[in-house]
Amino acid sequence: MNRMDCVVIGASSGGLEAILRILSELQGDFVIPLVMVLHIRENSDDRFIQVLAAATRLRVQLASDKTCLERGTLYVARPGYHLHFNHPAQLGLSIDPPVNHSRPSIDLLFESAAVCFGPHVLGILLTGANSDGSLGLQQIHEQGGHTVVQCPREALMPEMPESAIALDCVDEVLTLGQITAMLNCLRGNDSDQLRRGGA
Amino acid sequence: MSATDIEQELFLEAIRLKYGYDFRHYNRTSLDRRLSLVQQQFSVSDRADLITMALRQPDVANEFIRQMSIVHTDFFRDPDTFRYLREEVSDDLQSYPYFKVWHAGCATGEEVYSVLITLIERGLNKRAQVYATDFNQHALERATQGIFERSRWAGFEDNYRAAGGSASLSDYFDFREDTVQVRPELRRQITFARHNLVCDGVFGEMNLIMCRNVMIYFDNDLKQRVLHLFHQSLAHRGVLCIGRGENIDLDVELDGFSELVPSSGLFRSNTYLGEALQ
Repeated sequence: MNRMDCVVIGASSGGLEAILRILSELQGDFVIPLVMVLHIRENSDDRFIQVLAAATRLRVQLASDKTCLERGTLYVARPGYHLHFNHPAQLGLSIDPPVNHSRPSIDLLFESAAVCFGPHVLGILLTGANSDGSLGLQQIHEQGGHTVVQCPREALMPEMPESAIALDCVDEVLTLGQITAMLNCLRGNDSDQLRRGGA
Repeated sequence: MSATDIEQELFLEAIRLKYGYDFRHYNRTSLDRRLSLVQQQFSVSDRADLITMALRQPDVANEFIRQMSIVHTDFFRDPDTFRYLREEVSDDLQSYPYFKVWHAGCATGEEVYSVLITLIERGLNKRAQVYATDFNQHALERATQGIFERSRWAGFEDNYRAAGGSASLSDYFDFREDTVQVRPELRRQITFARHNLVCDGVFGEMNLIMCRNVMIYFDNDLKQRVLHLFHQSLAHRGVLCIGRGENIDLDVELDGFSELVPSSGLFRSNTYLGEALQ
């Protein structure tokens, strides 16, 4: 697999539980920045961030506009804002209308990741009861990035991974356990490379 | 520079030279998305062709300019922030016999009407002069009319209550079959005007400036210019309200602002305008 400068994750219904399982088994010294869109109601409070932070030794933060990407950090989209990459080292927000009835939309994050990172991004699409994320995953695939979906049989809601599989843009269909194992292998990419990639 | 970047640059230059709108310091990711939407709408597969079309056909350029101001907000979006406006900020404004509010980048008007309703319920609207500005004529016209889809009403009411609304939101609206419209006596209390944060100057001397989720569409350079403009437009101890997902403490060198309420997006200007100009 290519050197990975960033991991983007999308999840909807059932996603909080899925991501908690990944985080709980992810090694604490995982350095590659993780950026995640979890579908959540627009006016939700920030409590879900505390739940995520409690599950991992990584730094967990709500993504603010023009935030510079740092190692060992999980950035989570704010309810009511779209999240995207302004450039490979910086996140940005927008209040454009919802896409696929969602704000944040997984497609928007993934599309900008495809443009900014080309082959050096890993896109992971988890459980969900809609098709947000599949077009974005397709773009990551077209730009040479690596694409993974959660095994639909394991997913609480299989529609989201299935709709990506139907677009024929998925490199691997994996269980949550296998996804975590794969991420833990990625940490072999040393920090020098990451710094170059994020510069 | 990639071919895509060059095409984007040329398109923006064409719009600037021909129509006078300067989007060169807008966020490129959002811009790219809007260009794609315009391409889809006019069935143009090649972005280079869009440049010629925008130069020859004003409707193509107009559609792009219209797209640039399409955002989706709500009445009392981020209810906590409106609660602070109702409580802390209004307590402050109460000490003035007369004060001015500037809502910069008002788009379709949801938030400026929310500010006005907040002032009304604190009994402050008679002392206030409220200005709402946007660069986009199309958005301003919609804001002036104050018409919204009725299907969004339940969301407006939820936010209003969460923001501490003390009356009934429906009192401020006329109801039609598919729409709701802000009542004329409210609409008359706001002065709508064109102002472009990219090139227009100080708009002073304001006691409260609202500019939420506008600078997220700008690059760092333009954001700095606009923050400076706001600082100069604020009266002594005036308040600036930005979106909760935005930050200013990181980029502003001038110790001109201090945070009023942590992570609420509310900042207070510390410098007296007269001092800044001397």
